[in-house]
Amino acid sequence: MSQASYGYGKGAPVLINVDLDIRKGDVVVIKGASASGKTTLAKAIAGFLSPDRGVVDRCGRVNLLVNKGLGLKPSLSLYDNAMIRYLNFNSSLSTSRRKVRNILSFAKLDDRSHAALSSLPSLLKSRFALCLYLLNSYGLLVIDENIGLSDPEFREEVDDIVRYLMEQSDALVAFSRKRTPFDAYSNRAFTIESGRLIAR
Amino acid sequence: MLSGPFLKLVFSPFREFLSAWKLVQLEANVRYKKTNLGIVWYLLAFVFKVAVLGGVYTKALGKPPAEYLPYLVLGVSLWGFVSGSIQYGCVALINNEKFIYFDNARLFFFVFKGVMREFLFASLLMSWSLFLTCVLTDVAVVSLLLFMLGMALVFVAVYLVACILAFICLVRADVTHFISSMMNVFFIATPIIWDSSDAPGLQKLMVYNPFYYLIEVMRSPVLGRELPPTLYVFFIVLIPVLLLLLWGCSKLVRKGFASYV
Repeated sequence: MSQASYGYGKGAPVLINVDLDIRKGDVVVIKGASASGKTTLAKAIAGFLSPDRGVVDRCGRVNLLVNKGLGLKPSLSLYDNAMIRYLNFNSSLSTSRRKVRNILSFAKLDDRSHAALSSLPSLLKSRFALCLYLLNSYGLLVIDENIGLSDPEFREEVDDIVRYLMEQSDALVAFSRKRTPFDAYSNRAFTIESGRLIAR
Repeated sequence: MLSGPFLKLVFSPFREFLSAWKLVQLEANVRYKKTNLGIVWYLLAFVFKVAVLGGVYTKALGKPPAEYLPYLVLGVSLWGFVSGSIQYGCVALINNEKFIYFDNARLFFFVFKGVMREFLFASLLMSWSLFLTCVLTDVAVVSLLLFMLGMALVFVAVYLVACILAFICLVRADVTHFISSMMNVFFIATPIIWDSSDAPGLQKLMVYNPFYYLIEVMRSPVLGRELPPTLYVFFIVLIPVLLLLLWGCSKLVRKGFASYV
């Protein structure tokens, strides 16, 4: 992305002259306050916005996570929710059951697999949502939210998940307002202020 | 223009038919969760509708119920699929925005999923309608095979229309409301409740109503009626035209998706 500016319609540009080069194996952390342009940059990297000015070259697959609770239905069981998530992004019906059971076991929620998602305490809901990331493999993974968890019984697994995401993706870009679990692994860091990207 | 990769992308969801079927079953459970009758409510709504329409129109049109009811139930159930899929198409990309961000290679799958959901519900009604038709009239095996062929053609055509509308409605939200109004108009203007033979003056106009072909390619064989000669020609022309339109529409929005949602 070279000297790229982005805006919505005729309003003022949201991103101004952004230079960003992401290569295979990179773990990039971009921090910024609310309304600084993080989500717009995430969508721009993923290719869902055309630049008003500048050049963008993109190769390979991009996955943009903008919602941890993607497609989750509170009235359905954990098992059904995990199946729905899996089948939305994978075509193999035969491996879905095995993979979903493994995920529930990893999340230490296999004894609750038939309980409704709404019946879970919020900490376990978060844990479940986080573990659903393990159902997919990724190209360039762009995470537009803080997925750090403060689940004291799950700290080691959170670390495992972070490492899994980095291993399973070609490169990773994490956007956040504050600390993220990716900070410890990042090889490049930026801040975004009023639509301008600044290397740290 | 209509390159191999584009066609592969458009038709790739068909290879995922079984997983899409399972997925829509799981998602459909949400609609009837916590009800005692579950999906039977959907059948009951259909039965109430057909009972009232059948009661009124057998009297109004002076038709024998054994002849009119199969015509009506098949027409209404097929219309449910066609209309439901087209209206879903209008909101398919908007409603699945975050799924598309997650994996934009599956853009068409999220339209396919909605068409499959309508097909799941319609197949319940269609199997019930076919059963009723087989009880009330004689249905030959070849008619059932032609019905299946018609179903495949309608499925492909409706899926392509839903994809086109998904792109157009993303750019122009007004189209969603226009389509919703037009579907109500076409429900009346298409021979679903009434038979084109009841209004000979309108028969020539039917040639210009695409929904007439979509319904009759499935209904006519089952009812043992002569198929209009232009029926299959319509689909041979329609599907390539829809593919061309889809190609044009997809070019319009793919790069600036986030600007429209």
